[in-house]
Amino acid sequence: MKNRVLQRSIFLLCMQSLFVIVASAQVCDSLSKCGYTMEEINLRSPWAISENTAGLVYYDLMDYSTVGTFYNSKTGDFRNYNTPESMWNMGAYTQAYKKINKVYFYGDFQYQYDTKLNQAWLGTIYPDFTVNPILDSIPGKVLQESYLMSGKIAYKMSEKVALGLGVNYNTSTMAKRKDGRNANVFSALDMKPGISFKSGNFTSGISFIYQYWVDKVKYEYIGDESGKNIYFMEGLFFMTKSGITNTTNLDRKYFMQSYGGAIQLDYRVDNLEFFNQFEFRNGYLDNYEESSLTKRYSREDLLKYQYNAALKIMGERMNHFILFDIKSNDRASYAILNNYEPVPEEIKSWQYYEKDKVLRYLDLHKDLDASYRFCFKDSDWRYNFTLTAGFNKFWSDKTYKIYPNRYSQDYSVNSFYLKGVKFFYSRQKHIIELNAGFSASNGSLSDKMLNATGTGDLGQLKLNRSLLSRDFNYHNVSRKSYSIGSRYRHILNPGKGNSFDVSLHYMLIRSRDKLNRNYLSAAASYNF
Amino acid sequence: MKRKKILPFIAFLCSTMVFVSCMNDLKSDEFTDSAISEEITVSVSMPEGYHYPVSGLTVTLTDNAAGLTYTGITNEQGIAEIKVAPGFYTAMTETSFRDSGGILYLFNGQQSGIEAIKGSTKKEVKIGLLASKSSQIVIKEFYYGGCFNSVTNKAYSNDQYIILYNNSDQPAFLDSLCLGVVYPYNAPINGKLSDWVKPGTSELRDSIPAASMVWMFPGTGQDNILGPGEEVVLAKNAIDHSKSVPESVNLGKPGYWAIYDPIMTKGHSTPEAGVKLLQGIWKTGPATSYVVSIVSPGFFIFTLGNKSVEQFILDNFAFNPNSTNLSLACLLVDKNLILDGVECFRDQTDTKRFMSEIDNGFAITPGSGQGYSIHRKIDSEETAKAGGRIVYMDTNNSSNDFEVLDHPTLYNK
Repeated sequence: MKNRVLQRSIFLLCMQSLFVIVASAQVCDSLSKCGYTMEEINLRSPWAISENTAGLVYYDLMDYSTVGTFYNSKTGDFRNYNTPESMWNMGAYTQAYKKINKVYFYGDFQYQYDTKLNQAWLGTIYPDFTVNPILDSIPGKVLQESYLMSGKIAYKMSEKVALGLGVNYNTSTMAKRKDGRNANVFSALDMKPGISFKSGNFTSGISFIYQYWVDKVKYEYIGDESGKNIYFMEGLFFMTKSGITNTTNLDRKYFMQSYGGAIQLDYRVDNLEFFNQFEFRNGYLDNYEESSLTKRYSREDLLKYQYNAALKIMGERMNHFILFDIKSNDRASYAILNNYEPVPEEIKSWQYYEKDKVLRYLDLHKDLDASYRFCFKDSDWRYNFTLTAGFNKFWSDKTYKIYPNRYSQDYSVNSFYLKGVKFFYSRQKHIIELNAGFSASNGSLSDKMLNATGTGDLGQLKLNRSLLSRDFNYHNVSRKSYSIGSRYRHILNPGKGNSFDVSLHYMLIRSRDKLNRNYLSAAASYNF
Repeated sequence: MKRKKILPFIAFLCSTMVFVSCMNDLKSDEFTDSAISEEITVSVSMPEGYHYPVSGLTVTLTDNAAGLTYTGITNEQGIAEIKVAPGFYTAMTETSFRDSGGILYLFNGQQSGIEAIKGSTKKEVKIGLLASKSSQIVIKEFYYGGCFNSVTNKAYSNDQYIILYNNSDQPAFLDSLCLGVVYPYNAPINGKLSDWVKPGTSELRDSIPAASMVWMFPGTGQDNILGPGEEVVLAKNAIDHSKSVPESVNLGKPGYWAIYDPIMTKGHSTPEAGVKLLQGIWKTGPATSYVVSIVSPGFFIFTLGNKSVEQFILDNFAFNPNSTNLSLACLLVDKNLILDGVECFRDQTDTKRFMSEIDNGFAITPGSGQGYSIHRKIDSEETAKAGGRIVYMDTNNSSNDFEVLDHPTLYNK
């Protein structure tokens, strides 16, 4: 009898203990989620943010969502020719990872409203979308509204094979409030199917990408002040110009299509993961004059490569991340030779006919980034501090040729950066992060801005030396940047991992010639 | 075991190398000098009856769209081979010779529609030079773009004027000398052609279409004398514009000539006292003002060829080939009657309205409404020979003969 009671008591005690352990485990898991940030998730899950959407199935963290608002501002004299004197934007966003049985989802949506003051020399929504834009030189106020969304879905067919599909869509409109006023409408669609294979410690993948981006611009002039011009850029700041009046109505349409793919190889054993991805994209951009698409102004061939690798070692008290990224972004711009000819068998109809194209401009960029991040932690998602040190090198090589003249410019910029974050915890309800950073850059300012050979006779083409000088100086001048910031997180429900964040960040860039640029960011979000 | 772990990464890196190829390498063949150029062969020949040499002539190839120019020199056979950037070109050449009697003969030639593109059959061109003589009376200055009125902050173009000059060492008589503006009023753009080309071709006729109105110096033959080195000012609105527009000119001086008729040009200001009046001899359409483009006019002076006014109009009136609108009808003036002409372009890509013998080039200002004026350059050599009497350049090529002034010469006078 006594033995039976004792056995029953022991059994009940064990059951209770088990319940407590399970309950604690759940609380512990949710407490880990309390430390989730999107930046940390992206760092720990290279597959989830790779070009292969099938890699979403290797997202092994908890479901996580965040919804928030943000505000950013930039002011200061240290800016390039196509950057506004000051700008601010605000918006709202949401991001989420979700798993249902064997299906994995990721989605994000962002709305952003930009106001730019004294913006000139920007004829497209994104600067440098094309190397042959039409531009105007009159600074004015520009308003821009953007909607960016992306979605990924991945299905784990088996332990070895997964399939995925991703779609990105971005639409923006922009309008300048001063003559020559341009109004832009932009639309970008990306499609990314992918497949991955797991074998032992290795996981490999292959994915494809198709992109179709369009920017349509319409210039108008409604004032009666004369003397303003519109500029047709040819590359390397060579341009022709035309006077702009209240009868001027200039349309341009830029269509970009590219096809590409990526391959991935990942090795994972115990607490070590080594992820590699190589991506390739080949495409073209057509630049059409006027709305009828009968006259093509130029054609750009596009070629992009990118290799990135991430080595991740997750220890008990320390995490180590080594990241390496190298990109190549090349463009070849052709001038299209059109002739205005009578339409065959028509008496009074004339049309532009494309007769030939000639290569005029090569624009080659390379970018290398390597960094090491050290994290000292109390538990898996409870950091004490992190330190990041990195190096970046950027190369630019531009060549413009119009027989018999050749113009070229090449330079490289080296940067070093350092960033530290310290975490403070209070009563498991409050997390405070304090961060500070420093970087130093130095370019090829002592090099020649432009190398030229030939007769120098370029007909109507002129070199905009002011823009050339400003752009060269902006990229190459030595500069230092200093940043500080903080994030406060209030844990609303430790059991569910719900939290509320508020963050503030300030950065100052100061160039050697004593020009400054200030960046201020503020954000608030709800995470669950 | 370690080898098994490393091998997949080596295979990965090797497979990436298959794809990596810089744009510089891929496009290297397309970016050589020979890939970005084409060769044009131009053959120049003298007109029948003239036996001057064709070697050593400068041939200029101009891309009408990009404004690029390339030059070459003809060899003994009159052939020049010129390498150019791909595009569509017009070839031009000119020369002059003075015969034993002292007459200066001008030879100009032009050929358009040259396609310097891959696979084109239009890269070998022939230019037959056309002969003309240097004129006694020339257009010395043509102020057509107007100025900027700082009072209203708008362009002001009522103060257009022309100055004619006696460029010879003999007196000239202005009686019966006529003025005209070519049709179309503005030079065609975007490769378009004038309505008055030879039907089915892009070739200009042997006559210039005078648009809207034609004006003539009155007189019986020797009433209006212009001595060597003397000039006359012709104004649309012969008043003192500078009183209301500080940047403008005074065109109301005694001795000036007004392009004015109280019925034909009701839109013009009544000339000041002392200003002489030209005679309006022909008008078509309802316009109440003599239209001279502020952007790209073509102006010329001519004689009636010993015909009466009535006979000249009867013989040369023509409707526009593409319209029955009376406003677009013209008087066709034979090229041999034209003493001088100046073609003005807004852009280098504009299409010519004057044939080579009249004007083998064009004058161009940076823009209208800014006070620019085109003025003939001084021929230093001939001026020295003339013992100080100014002789202006006259090669029947406005590109060479004229320069752009920031202000009209009558400004502040």
